Amino acid sequence: MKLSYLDIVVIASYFVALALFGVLVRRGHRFDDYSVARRTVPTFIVLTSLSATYIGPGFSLGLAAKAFNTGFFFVLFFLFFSLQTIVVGAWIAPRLRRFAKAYTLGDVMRELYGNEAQWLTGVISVGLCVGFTAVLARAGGVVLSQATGVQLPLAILIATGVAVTYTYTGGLKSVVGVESVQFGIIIIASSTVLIASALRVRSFAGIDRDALSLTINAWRSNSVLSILGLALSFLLGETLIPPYANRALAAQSENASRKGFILAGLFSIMWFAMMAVAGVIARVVVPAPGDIEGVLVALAGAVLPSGLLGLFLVALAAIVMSTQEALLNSAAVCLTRDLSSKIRARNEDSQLVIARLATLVFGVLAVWMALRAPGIIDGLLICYSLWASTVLPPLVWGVIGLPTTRWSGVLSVLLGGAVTGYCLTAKLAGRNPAIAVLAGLTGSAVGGLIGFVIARFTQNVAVSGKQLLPADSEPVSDPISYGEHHQ
Amino acid sequence: MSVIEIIAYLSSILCVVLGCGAIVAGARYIRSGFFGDNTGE
Repeated sequence: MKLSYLDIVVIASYFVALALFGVLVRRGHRFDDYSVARRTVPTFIVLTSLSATYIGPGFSLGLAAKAFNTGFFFVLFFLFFSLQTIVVGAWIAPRLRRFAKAYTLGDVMRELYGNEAQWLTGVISVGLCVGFTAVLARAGGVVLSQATGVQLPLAILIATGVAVTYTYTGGLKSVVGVESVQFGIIIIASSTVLIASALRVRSFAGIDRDALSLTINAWRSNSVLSILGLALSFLLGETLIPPYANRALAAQSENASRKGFILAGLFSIMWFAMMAVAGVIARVVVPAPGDIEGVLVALAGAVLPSGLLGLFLVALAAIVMSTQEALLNSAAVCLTRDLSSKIRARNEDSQLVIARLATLVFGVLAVWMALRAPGIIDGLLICYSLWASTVLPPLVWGVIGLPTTRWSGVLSVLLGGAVTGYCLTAKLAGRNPAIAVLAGLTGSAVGGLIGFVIARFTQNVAVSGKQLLPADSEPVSDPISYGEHHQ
Repeated sequence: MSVIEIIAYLSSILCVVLGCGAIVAGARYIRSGFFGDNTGE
């Protein structure tokens, strides 16, 4: 792609401004600044930061590429993500916010099920976040490298290095602020591409017919099982992963948490429609884009004048970096809180130092893996496949106020993980990983049931509507009774 | 007008408005949190 000097100035200004922000910003002095932005994030910032986090390369470039080939077929499945976000907003996120002293989902799991459940949640959370950070380090480097011609290793270093800088200094507080600005840039630049490309279209009637025919063909060429698998993947795959859950914990009130998630879910419907429409219009404007995955970039290159093209490439970098910085912060906070009771027992100052160091280490690790060790990234991404069938079931079960015991939480995570892991490694799921998730969910339910049976025989009888804290677990905060408002 | 045309123009206009709001809100949040005296320190 040939860029003008103006485009390069726009791109360079973005990275310099972010790097300067990272250096000049006043450091947060408290661990709760760094981990949950002092629980003061208002509704609108929950909406913008959550949306910026979930809009990664897959939900933008990926969806446009799918629409180029299959019309609106995939949008139907992306809408399951919207549904999930709205449901979480209505019922789960506000209840999570009631855990007034929890910094991570691991803290919530400890309050519900005990120390072992927190450790297991921490391992899966850190693996998922670090693996994704590394994937995005490479994606951000590729965007920057292709846009400016900088060598890939240097581009990876610049893109991730800038994100690490302001995540290191300001923690979640600077992350959510920057994400809000990035969200604005992303949606304004994408709208510009869409309007400019729509103005090039002579007849929309032909595009309507083409899109309908592509959608019907894609629907017919997929089996019922694969369609169900796709729906399940979008419904559960990213539900309450650590960077999303952090927004619920950091919201200034239960109401802000609820509204922020619901609005982010509603916004995602419009966003998915926009990306799909861009992909469908691209069939007319750039009928032979070369690399289908980069069809949105090709469309922008074809319709935007210089300067605006630079802004669009900045938006692409923002798409990658906004997700990456959220994951990086979550990984560091989860490591600090979930993996060692010795670290957790330290005062806030020590936890802040450890979280900052972890941010640096994970940033360096992500760059190293992006350049040298893709195999390790694959290994860590198994944690992503495990999420829906390990942490999610006992978390949702406990958060909505159903009875819990220590064994039910631990066995639910372990059995769900073992079954999913076995299905994936033994390739029992074939090409449909959702089968592994379904089997894992069954395993998780059985694990929870066994936990209740054990509790019954050891007299640790569950009481409906209250969580039973194991006698030797350390509560995150004062014991919480459901239904009470804890601010 | 076709459905695709309506989605393209309407959502773009909404996104430009929302995007401007997000940039302003983000900048104000950053200013009050890091460069002002609203941190409670």
